[in-house]
Amino acid sequence: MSDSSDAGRLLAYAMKPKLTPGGEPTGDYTRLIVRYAAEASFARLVEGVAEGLGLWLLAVDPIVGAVACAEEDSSFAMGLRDYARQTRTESRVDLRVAHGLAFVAIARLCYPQPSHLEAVDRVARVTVNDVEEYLRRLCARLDEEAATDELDVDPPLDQPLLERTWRAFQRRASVARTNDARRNSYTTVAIIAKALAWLVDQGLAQKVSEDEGGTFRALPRFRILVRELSGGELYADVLRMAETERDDERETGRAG
Amino acid sequence: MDEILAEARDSKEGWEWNADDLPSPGLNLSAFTGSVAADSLSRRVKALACTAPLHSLEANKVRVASGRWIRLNCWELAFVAIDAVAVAMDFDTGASYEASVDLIARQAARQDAGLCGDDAIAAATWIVEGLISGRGGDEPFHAAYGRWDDDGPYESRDFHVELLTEHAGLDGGIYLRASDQAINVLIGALDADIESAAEAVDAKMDSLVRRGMWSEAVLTAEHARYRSIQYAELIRREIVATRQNVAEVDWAERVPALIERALDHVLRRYRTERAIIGNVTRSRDEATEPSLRAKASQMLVLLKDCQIRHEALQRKLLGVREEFREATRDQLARPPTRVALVDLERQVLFPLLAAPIGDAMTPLERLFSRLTAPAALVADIDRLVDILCEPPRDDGSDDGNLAAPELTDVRREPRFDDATWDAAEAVLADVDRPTRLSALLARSETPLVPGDVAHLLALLTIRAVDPGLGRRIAAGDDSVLLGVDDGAVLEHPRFAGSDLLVVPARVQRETAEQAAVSV
Repeated sequence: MSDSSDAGRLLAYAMKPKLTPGGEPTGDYTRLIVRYAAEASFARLVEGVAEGLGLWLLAVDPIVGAVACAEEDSSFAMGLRDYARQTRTESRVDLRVAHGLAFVAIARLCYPQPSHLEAVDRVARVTVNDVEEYLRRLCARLDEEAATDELDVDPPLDQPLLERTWRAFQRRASVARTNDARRNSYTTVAIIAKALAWLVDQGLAQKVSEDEGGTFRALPRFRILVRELSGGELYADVLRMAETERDDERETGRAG
Repeated sequence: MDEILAEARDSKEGWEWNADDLPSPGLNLSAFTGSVAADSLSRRVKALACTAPLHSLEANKVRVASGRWIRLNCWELAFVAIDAVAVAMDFDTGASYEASVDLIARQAARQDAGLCGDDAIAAATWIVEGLISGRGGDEPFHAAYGRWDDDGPYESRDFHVELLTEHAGLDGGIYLRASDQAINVLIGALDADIESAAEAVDAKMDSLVRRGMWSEAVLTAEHARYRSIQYAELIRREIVATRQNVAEVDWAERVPALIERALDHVLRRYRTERAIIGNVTRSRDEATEPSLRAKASQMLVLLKDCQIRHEALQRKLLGVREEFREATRDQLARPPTRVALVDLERQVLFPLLAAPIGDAMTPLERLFSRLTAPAALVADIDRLVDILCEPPRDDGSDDGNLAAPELTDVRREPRFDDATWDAAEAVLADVDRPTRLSALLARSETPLVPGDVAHLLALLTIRAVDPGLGRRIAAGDDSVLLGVDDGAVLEHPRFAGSDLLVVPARVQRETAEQAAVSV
């Protein structure tokens, strides 16, 4: 088989997050991963094909397999907009933000210390209730800090996007039950449960039981993703966000 | 009266006199509380802490499953679990979760004949879960012990108990392993150095074999098997640690010495057990009583298993240096860690929470799309329209001189406010059987609901005729509402048309990927 066919197949495997090299019966996946690690020219070829497709090859791990993400503008990408119900996203930035926060909080509870992100053997556990309580606790802490510093954090009435993220999260009810005991999908518990179910779909977690609102274990693939993203792009985005905020403050300071 | 006082004085003097001569009670006590004693105390606290998860299972059994498991002996079941995992785990993977649960379920059914199949499995799962550590905030898995200098302050330290732990296997499955602590609890809460414990086992075995006490000798052989398992686990962990950071593991002295000791243990065990097997075989052949013969046969099975275990350890030990070299090569070949490790709470989550939601949106949006594996989403018309309407990608070929187009803001106020949306969606969320649009409209037209819920409801129902299935499935929804036109005509003062039947449908996933996994 040709090199380019090998490269294409490795990327095709990357699009099946639940498949691991050990779980692929013919041994083809493992062979490709060994080849990627051993041959620099093949690795470059794979990365080139990935780039052309709008994919970003994050890691190639002998146990987890190939981990890839889609670039925002590629046709393989899926955004929070698709994920967080399409019906009225326009008016609901706070809903999308809550969905996003759930993922960060799950990652934090799975890997409380930076070194955990490197712990090859770690299979972390996380429950819906833990994540919910954890986020609420952080919000309460920010609330307290704002009160001590006498910060005015309420947004102007006509600029709802200036509302602080923690306030927006705090406003959300944790549970509300509809008549037939199905969860209202806008509560924080439902948002977190959906995030974990999504991670299961993506081959990043496994469901263990229904205890504690749903108990899950995080798989090594999740650790690799979180490690690469939190140390790179996500962190850079957060820093950039903080910078813009400072700039804004300086400007309003000048104006006022 | 005087006499009694005198006597009392005498006895007091006597006590004082003794105190000068004998070690004072105060001195004696300080020997138990001095810093020298700290080691012994903490060792015992830790040993006791290892049993806490077992106690907590036994104590909680009345509170779970509406009291159905009250007749189970949870201590015994927990030991069965630890036994099963310790014996089943091999070097590379571990014990399968399902097989362990199955074994415990059978023992549980033996303890309580009234326990039916599914309930026995549930009880067994509960036991295994109760022994797995690594979940944050688990009370029974923590204990505190103290460290102190004779003059310094008392310092409380946290001790984390591990009994069963979960690991990712090479085939992507999750396996259980029993920790050293668990194996120690199992053998009898010895928090002893494992090498010296091995020596003790050896000495005991020698004397038992000499005295011809076979059943005792078999018990000791079993303990020796656990030692082999412990050695294997110790060495496996060193290799894992090497893979993570080669500089952290002392492969010059400490680990080779550990391998030497383990090899030594295996060889001695092998000799001793061969001797016992010979002796037990002889006594079985000579025995005339059937029950004695049966017992001897049972012992032989056990001894053979111990031997197999030692052989496995020996094979591993002989190959371990090569494995280490490979782990080192892996580590050296890997480019130096590119990413900095980030404190997710302090450096990511806090700044995000403190930011205005408009700003927090971008990093979170991006994180989500990265967590999602790339997938071909062009599955329904909805999505295709989006793609076709996207502005062309900038390929950098234009000269950058574009006249700024005149733009008009065509956004309008949303037709329905959030409360109306909530009310309409609540009505739809309640649909759990096929329901007519007319019935839904009737439900929405109570005076309690705000706004024009009926209108929104009618629109949403029309949308349900083609709900954009591809996208809904891609978004991971478990169920969708489908609008079906069966010809019934809607009779309503405001709306006209078909009286659609709204049917809740479950999404069943059978993706190509799952098919590939199941091959």
